Amino acid sequence: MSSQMQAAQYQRKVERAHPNLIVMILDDSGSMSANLAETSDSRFRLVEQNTETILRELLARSTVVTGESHSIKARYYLDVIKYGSKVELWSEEELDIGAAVRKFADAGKTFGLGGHLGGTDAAAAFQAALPRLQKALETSRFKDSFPPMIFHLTDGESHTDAEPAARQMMNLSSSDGNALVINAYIGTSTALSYHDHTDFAGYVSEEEVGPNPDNLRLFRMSSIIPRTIRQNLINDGIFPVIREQSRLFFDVRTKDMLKHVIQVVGSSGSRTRE
Amino acid sequence: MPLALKAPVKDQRDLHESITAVSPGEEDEELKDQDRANHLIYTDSTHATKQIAIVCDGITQSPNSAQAAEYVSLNLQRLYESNGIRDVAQELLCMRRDLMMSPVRIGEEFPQTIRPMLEEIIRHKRASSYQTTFISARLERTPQRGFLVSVLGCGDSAIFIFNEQGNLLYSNTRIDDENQAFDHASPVTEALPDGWDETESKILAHSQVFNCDIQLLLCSDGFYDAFSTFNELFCWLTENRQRLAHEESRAELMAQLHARLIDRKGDDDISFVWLFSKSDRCEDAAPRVSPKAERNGNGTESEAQGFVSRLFSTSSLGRSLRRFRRG
Repeated sequence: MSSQMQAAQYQRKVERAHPNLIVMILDDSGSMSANLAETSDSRFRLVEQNTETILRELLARSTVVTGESHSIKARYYLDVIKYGSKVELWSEEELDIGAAVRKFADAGKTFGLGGHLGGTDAAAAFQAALPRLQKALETSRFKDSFPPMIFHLTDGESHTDAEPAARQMMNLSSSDGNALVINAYIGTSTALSYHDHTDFAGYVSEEEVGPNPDNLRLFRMSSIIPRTIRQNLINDGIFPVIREQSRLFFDVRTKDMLKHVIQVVGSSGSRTRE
Repeated sequence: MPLALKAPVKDQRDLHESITAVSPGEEDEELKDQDRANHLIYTDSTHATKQIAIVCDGITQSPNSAQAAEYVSLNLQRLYESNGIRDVAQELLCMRRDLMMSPVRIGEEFPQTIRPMLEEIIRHKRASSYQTTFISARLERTPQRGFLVSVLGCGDSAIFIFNEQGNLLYSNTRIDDENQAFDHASPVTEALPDGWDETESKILAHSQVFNCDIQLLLCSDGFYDAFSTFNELFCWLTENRQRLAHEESRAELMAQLHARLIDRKGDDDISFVWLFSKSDRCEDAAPRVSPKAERNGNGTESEAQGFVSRLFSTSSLGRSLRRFRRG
């Protein structure tokens, strides 16, 4: 997409009339019960802790306080799909943020992750998500909203290729632009040198990703960062030096990096002054 | 907002005519209505006629920001008194403290499992309540029949000072000339009361003498966001001057601007105060300085310094943010 075309897209504000859909595809294979390097926390537990933070942030953005009263506006919808060697849907359909937070809290602040689902069949997860996303984009609720974000988090080599399904997702669109696929790979290593989120410049080329075929696959099935998202990540201090034309592909080497990568989920929407 | 004439004006040519517009935008199918504007004429203790105007824009996510905008706009004159901004900011902080101390009531429809999270969110939001930007200008005639304009502001509401030909003489926005695109990409802005800090002031304070035929536009970001450049904005103002002077046609024009905003990035409140001179203003004025000289601030420096030092009692003077400069 030319930069001129892209400049005219991804301009929608996130609001109740045009809510943002977030699809989270979460790896719950056996290896997710292992600890993240140099921590005493299991990978799935860290994912759930950081997801709780972003749910709280999305709920905060949806809560309007007027004097001593308040209300929750359905500005975000969440669809969570867990996978290992099989796929598990967290809910029948996408939930508004209030309902999603309630369900998450009622379950003890967990999505039920625990490394329960065996192997890693990413293709099945993306294929399960695809028709749900197609159906959502046909509704009046999402068809004119800021494009949906599909956030895929994995720690392992998938024995199936999710790239075709991911590319189909990237071809789906709202009137404001194509759906955005984000891939976060826990525990991998790449050719890019950086210390933490403050100097993470993003991946623009395959050379920077390095030779690992799983990294390259996830890089290729990640969307190019739109200007709006990039600006939000910079303004929010999440990735203050991320480059234009970076792909929405992130390698997660540390606990701190995981925290910032999950916050990408909250970077959608054009921001007028808040 | 009606003019408040506090004493007979000695010379009508000392006054600018004005058009004020405040048009609420929609967000989440409800009216935002967080902008306020005010315009005042008065004579001071020395019988000098002064005209002051203000636009305030309440911060969207800040609870009770409309009340803050209302409060600051009604206290327009106090802002120009010594420590006036500090006092108004502290009054806003008092209102905030009162809100923070009041109990948080969560309805029964919210299950116990999420109440602690919701209460924390509400308390956090209350801690940033009563936030508003403001931009104000005070005009007073100089002995040489020009105008001393004293600008105060905090945040991304804008002021444009220009002549009848549309030459931009001063602005607090980041543009170099009339045809440069407005750059309002960032949603981050300063605002009262948090923008007031005795050790590091984020308050705009600028004073300059201009020719007799200047016009001033004070506006919220919702207004200038509907245009690409100042030139486009100026053309719109001059083409629609007659229609803007009447309530019904002004409302139609505002509706068109809202539609434009919706197409660009989303609706917002739109407000402005436009001050323009009467046609016989410059008959007895001193020889005009050139637009270039005006842009480079060939004003009365001692008056400018006097304004700023009277305004801030500490040695930490307000910054004069980017002045329009052209070579």
